[in-house]
Amino acid sequence: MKNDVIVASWDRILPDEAANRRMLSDIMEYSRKNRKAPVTAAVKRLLPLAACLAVVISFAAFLGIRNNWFVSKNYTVLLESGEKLIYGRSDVKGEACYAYDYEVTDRRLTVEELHDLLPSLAVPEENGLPYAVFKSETGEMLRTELTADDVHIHLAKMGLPLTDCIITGEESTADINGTTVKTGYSISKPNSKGIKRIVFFSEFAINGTSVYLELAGDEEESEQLSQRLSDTVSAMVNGTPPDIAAIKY
Amino acid sequence: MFRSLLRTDKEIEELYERHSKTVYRVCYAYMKNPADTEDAVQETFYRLINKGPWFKSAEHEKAWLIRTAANICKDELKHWRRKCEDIDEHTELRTGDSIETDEVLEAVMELPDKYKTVIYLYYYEGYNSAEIAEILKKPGSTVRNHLHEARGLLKERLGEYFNEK
Repeated sequence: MKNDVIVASWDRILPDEAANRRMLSDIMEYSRKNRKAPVTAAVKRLLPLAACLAVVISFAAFLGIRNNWFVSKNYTVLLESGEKLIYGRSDVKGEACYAYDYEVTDRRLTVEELHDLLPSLAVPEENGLPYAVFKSETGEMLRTELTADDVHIHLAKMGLPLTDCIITGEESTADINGTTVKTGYSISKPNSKGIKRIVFFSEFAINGTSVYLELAGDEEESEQLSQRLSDTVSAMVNGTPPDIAAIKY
Repeated sequence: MFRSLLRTDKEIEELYERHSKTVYRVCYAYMKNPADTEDAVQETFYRLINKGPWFKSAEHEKAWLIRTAANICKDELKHWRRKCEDIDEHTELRTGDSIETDEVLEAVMELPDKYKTVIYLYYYEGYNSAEIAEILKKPGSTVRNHLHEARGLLKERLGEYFNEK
């Protein structure tokens, strides 16, 4: 409830023009000088939080270093012959070109041809006989691709790209019975169930044939997978090598 | 949180233009002289700049400034009292260019500090006791008591001159 007498009395309470200008000027001056003050205050408020965060990060770093969280894991397999195959972390970085600059043709390999090609591996026929690509002009075999005991095998005439991707990373090379064998693995991001897929691969050239082997499975089975792939490598390198040149169209 | 960083010079100037008279009147009721009133007004706006509160409306903005101004003045007076200084003497010393006040306003300024803001808000701004309680963040019963007591003191001092209509 307004009171006219009080309103009239209080209305007279006003700063004069000079005082008004002086106050406004000082306030604006203060505003310009102290505009950054809240940031400083905020930083001060955040200091304890930052300290806690630093402790947590240091602890995580300590655990990580101790448990090799930040180092890509290598899988090492000792072969019966005494050599080691080391699988380092790798990634697919690009695509290779499969195109031929000459005419090609294809047909399924026969059971006999398959056994001649991979004598050291038992290739089950129920997998279906694989197709092979031949050079039309000469009838020479250029490549084929098949699966034996879950291992995916690419065979190609030496000098041709083995797969349609280029893999780079920390692959290791080993000399097995005079053959340079490149090995590595790549790992996927976790799926909706948190399971990661791991793919072990190996690449080598033997007897005029380039060979690429690949075995994939859940990350939990890494040790078994790397062992199985190494056994396949060992069988192909130490046993009778594949001879792609022996098969004609 | 960092609203004051977002307030430009223009916004602060506009805020000052909107509320400086109100803040000045509240401060004058406590400080009783232009010089200390000026200091208190400036301090009120400095706090606004530093704290950078966010206001949901112009009324909220005004309420914040009135409450802050009153608290600043009360703190300043407490500081003087702690130093055992005679406030009236202080007032006289600094009242070189004092504002001419009448008997009514002098009666208001003579009221105990706790009644001054309530009286200003009730009789000058025209708020009811519930709104004053909201502005000053005080219980409604406290505000009603203060109003009742202050009204009694003003009637005693001003007699029939204090017209409530």
